Amino acid sequence: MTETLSNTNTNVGNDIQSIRGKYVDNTAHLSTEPKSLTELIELIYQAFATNEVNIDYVHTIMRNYKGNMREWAPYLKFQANKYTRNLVDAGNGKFNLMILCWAESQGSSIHNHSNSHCFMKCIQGSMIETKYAWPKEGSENEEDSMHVISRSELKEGMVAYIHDSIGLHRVENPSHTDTAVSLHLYVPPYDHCNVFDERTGRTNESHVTFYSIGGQLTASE
Amino acid sequence: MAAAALTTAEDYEGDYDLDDDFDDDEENDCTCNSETVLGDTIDYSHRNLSTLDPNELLTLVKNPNRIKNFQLNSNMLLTLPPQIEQFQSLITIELSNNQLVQLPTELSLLNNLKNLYLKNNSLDDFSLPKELQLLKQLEVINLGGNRLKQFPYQLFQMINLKEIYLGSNQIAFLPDLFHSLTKVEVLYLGGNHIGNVPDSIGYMRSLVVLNLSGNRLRTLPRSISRLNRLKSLSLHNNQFSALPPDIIRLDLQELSLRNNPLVVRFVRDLTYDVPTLKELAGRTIKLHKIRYDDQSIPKSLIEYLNAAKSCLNPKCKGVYFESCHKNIKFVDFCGKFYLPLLQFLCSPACTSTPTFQMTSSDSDDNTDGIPTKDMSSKFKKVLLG
Repeated sequence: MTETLSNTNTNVGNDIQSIRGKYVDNTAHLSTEPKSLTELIELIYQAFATNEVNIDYVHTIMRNYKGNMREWAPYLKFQANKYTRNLVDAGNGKFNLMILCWAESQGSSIHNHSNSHCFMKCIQGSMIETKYAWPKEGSENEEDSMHVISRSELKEGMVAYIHDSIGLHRVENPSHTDTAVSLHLYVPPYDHCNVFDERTGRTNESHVTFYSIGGQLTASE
Repeated sequence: MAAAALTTAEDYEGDYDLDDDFDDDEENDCTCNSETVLGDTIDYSHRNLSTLDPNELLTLVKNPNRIKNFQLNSNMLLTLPPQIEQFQSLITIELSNNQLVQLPTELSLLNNLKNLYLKNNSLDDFSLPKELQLLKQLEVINLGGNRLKQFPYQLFQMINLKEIYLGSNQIAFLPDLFHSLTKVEVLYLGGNHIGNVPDSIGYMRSLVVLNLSGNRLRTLPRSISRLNRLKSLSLHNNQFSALPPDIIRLDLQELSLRNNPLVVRFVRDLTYDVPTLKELAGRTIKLHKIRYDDQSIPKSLIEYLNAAKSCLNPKCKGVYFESCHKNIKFVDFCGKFYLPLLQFLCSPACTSTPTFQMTSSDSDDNTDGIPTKDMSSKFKKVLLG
């Protein structure tokens, strides 16, 4: 599955031949086995060299990337009160690659992804992802608890994908003894999203920030 | 910090050159290096050890007194040999991820021990020797992921403790003995079977992080409002249907409440036990400010009268003793979420607004003593997610 990042003329509906002609697998020549974080980042840059995003390819390289503690060390920063978002690469504005550090029992709010693609790989420990359906349109005056679509465990190595067209999600580290670490790729990057109250479906905008960038703590922390 | 037991590359910066022992093809948790003793650290981690041979150990380490840090994590140890006593300079002993069933009493003779990591073992209430309470200089103890059914009493004697981790055990009851733990900054009790938090938790004046997630809690003691250094309160995955209003007095940065049966709609007034004659008499005395002293009434009644609690309705001068009316009122925090808070009022007639009215933070109607917008905005972040 390929998606074009920039808006092109969408009036191609009827002409299947012309759709096929436009489709080019721009990642066919690239490796699918990144052996290091540096190589993974390099492959991502190359994959987004044009404005086409090959979702399947990105999913594959995220899954195949193994990595090790040494590579992630500068980004492993834990906080007692909240999980941390640590930017690894700003992707020249095309993507954001970051490492999230979850201390014991920490979890996120229910949130969306501002129409960006979100790939999330568990690289240490395990996590639980709970997907929710969007609250019904026009129900702002009613209060209805949000509906769970699915709940799954993301073990070490596994990759999950989400997009606003699928729904919303909450991510949590269920362990009371061990930390969890995840590698996230967002295409394109975003700095605002919406958070949702599970009990009522009410939503608020939220500004997302980084605890560290390139291994350096950000000014606000 | 909550992840004190997670050792990362940063912990060993300067001590330990990771490049010496990592082969790129091997999994990152296999250390096959020969540098087991480096400076003041012994690293025996990840070696499949099922016992520790004291003779071999003492041969390797000529002078046990210079060792400050002993890494034994991720092995298969069942216990430690008594010769551990010879390592008198030990500050840190890392025994996480073993199969420990018993700790030797000699461990308690390590007078310099500050950090004791025992996470993910098979320790039960009988595994911890009584003598452990002699470790009065201990600052961090991690007993997460064991088989404890009781809160270890020895900890109440360790008055220098700063961080206590007891996550994922089977603790069902907390004794009311937390008065002595005045230096504790982090108390992790998540993933147990705790049904009640005792009053003495209010004496833990240094507490910054309190994790009570994944238990069976329905309420918190009112003394929680005395924890004025508390910044992070984790209450998710419990049985809270409402919260004591005192919670608003805390200066929290994070409050997690997900997966609690928080009241969806307004709730009709909860239980109201009709007051006893003693209570009614007591209320009258207090309301009319009738004087009393130990010449006129028995001491027990004086204590009773002095324990009167004020009705939360500021327009009401009434007090109550045992019989109060529990009301649930929804409070809007920072214009974001409605949080059900429990009100204690002297009688059902005492509400000046009906129970089902939701107050908004913009409302001027604060006659019920419910927090104002200013107080609400003290919460920098309310993680209701």
